[in-house]
Amino acid sequence: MLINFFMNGMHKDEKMLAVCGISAFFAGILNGFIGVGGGVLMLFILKLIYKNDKKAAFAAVPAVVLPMTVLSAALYVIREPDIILKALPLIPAALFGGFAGALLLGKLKSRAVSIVFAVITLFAGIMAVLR
Amino acid sequence: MTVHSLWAYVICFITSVSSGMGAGGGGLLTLYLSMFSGVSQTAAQGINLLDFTFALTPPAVVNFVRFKPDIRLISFLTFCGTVGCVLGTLLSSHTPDLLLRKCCGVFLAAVGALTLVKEAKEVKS
Repeated sequence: MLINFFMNGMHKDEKMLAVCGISAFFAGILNGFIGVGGGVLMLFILKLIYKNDKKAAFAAVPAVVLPMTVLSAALYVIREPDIILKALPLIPAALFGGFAGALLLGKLKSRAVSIVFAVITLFAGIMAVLR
Repeated sequence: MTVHSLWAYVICFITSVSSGMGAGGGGLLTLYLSMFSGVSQTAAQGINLLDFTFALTPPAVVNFVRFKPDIRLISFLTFCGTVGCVLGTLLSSHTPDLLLRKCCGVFLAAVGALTLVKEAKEVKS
């Protein structure tokens, strides 16, 4: 009934929506389990939904990932309350960075940024596995 | 976070900018904190999530106003995602720190490699 409420009159392709819902569920698991990756999976899902409108997909990601991140963060804080003190000094950087990113969306060539971050992420990932 | 706090601040800012643009890079702060700042993997994940709550708020608001995405669709995906979140967080509390870091590393390496392959294909075509 809950799913019917969400899906009612929304999209014709219910199969794709079901697949997207299951993928979102796994994105949530990833977000809670390793603290990252929810956005990557959600972007993939939203690109499937929005098809040609890449900007709309990019724009919808934070709206979906934010509640997931808030919930995961809250559960981590309940488990380890002292992470609030450790995270506190970084909050201004995160806030200003997020605002700058939102303003830069569509103005900066996201392909170049994406390639740079892909190289750094690949290198950091390999380091984490080998260390 | 004492000696490396300036680096942590810089990495947090840069990854927040890239995440706000949807270009990824959110996991880099977690790996930096757990590998170079003497913070446990679980705490690093918690710090990353807590900071990204603030990093994602401006893009979520700005993009919601600018692009007006389908609220029902967003709600449906968010509902599915948050259920998964609870499960993932519970799972992480029963997983050793080293294994968590390796999983995080494997995931980030895979995402980096796949992104490079995808971009190379798009440049060719």
